[in-house]
Amino acid sequence: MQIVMLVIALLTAVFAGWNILRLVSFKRAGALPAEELLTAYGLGIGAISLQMLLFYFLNVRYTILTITVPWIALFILNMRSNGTGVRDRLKDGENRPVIEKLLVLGISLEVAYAFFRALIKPIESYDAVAIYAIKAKIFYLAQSIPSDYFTRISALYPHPDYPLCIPLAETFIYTFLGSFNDQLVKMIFPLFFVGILGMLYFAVRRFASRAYALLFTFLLASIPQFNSYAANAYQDLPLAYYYFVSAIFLFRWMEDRSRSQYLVVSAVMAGLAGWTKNEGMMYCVVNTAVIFAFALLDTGGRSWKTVRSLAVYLSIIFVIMLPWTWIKKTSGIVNGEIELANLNPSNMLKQIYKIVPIFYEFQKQFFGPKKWNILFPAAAFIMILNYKKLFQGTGKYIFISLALSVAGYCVFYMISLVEINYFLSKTWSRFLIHFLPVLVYYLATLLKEDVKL
Amino acid sequence: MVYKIFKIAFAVWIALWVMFGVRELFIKGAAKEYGKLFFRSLEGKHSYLTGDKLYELITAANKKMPPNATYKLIGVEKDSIEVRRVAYYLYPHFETDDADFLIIYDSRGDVVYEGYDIVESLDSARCVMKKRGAQ
Repeated sequence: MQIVMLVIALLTAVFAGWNILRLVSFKRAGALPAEELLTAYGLGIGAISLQMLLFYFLNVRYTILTITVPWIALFILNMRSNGTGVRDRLKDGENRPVIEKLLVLGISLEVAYAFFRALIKPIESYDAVAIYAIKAKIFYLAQSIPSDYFTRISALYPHPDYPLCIPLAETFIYTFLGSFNDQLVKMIFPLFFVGILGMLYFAVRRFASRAYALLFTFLLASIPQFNSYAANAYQDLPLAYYYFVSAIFLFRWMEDRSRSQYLVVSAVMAGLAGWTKNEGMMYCVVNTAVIFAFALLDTGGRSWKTVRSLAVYLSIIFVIMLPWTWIKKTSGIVNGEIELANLNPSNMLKQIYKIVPIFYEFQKQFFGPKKWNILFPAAAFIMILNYKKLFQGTGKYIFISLALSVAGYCVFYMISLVEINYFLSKTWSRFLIHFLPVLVYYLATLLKEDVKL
Repeated sequence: MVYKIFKIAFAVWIALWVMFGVRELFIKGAAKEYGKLFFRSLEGKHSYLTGDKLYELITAANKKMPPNATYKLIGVEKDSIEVRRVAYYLYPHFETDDADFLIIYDSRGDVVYEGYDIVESLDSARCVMKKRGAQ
């Protein structure tokens, strides 16, 4: 029975996400049905957790009914609107060469292993228990966010300032299960893994063959660090998902600005990245900077349409982040690790010594095959070899996005209050996961003319 | 040229993929651990991951504590994963210094906890103590 309720909960998340996509006429942008499904899952998880946060203001308790009714109402509303559109098509022959079959086998093994690893254990790793699962338990037992949660209870556990997207998503699953099953709830994490792999596959398929897309999907799936974070109930993979989907849709909008639905969904996903992890706010800034660069480089800064797009993008992020920011502000919840006031030139100069340990740790990851296989040396080699292509077309914006991500984390370390070596050892290998799918996608775009499959 | 290099890199990738996969499963003991976890109930899995001895103590304490009672865990390293797991399993009980119950995991024989009486003793090192006069 619990498995059935779990499936219903997950379908409810997809239903919620699908309704939002329909509301913004996503189908008209030409997205493939599978892309819509993969987007709907993450969007639904994020939207339902936001809905549950809003219940805190409205004093509504969490039940299956209170959670689902708004989405059924939206569905009825959507039925009136015209959701037709011409979907993009992918050309392919019927034949499936052996290489494709082997790659599918490799991806299937990795996906099956991610699900197995997630579901063989209940939530048990340090941050997953101490920061997120405890919050989900508090909310589930109270069937709401307790009225004294932000003013009293949250201070009793580590990191009260961390966003509540995943704890509330876990609460949503418990509410459907009707019990506190911290083993089945982990199902949401490998589904984010599948979401990233699927979105990467279809993003690459748009400009390359099936075998080529499968190859890069396999490369990403088989990175040990990436796979292991699909199972440990940390927030890094959901964040990687939200950033990746927001970036992919942003690049797609840049290629065809008439498809404004992609821009809207990109903004929503960026907002949800901020709602998943504090680092997600950095990706909101990264995406905004990328749009700004696009406005300057590709439209010469003259296009009012791009300026308007930037305003829409920021407004959507603002609306998504507003409730959580409001709660943090009014409850006096602050981050104990990062001090934004330190983000000034004189302090940055004082902290310059941190560059050495930052790069030392980075090279440890760079040449660390146990976690990353040979991805980073291979990526560096590919970039050097294809230096002329680095800044061609949309590629330059992917490059800017990646460069800003790395720079952003370096700034994080510079303004951090935590002892630098300890902080690096605990975080660098996780931060790299956040932009890993974008990096693999970038490599696929760079090699598309050299590697013919 | 690029394609040739790519093919070699991919061969290296596959070799490392297989090698690290086998290493994790069989040398680092993941397969053995999965075998131990596979047939356990959810409760059994919690116990295995927390450590059977500590989990037995938490379960005993949970049975003794009335709603809203507070506890203090003694004999476990501060801020360790065990402390976090105990807080997770025992919620809605909170940990405080002046607690209604003491959950003693690793008792040192010479330490006396004044004002508390043993309400459950699992062995010479592990017991649950209740404050005199607490509900």
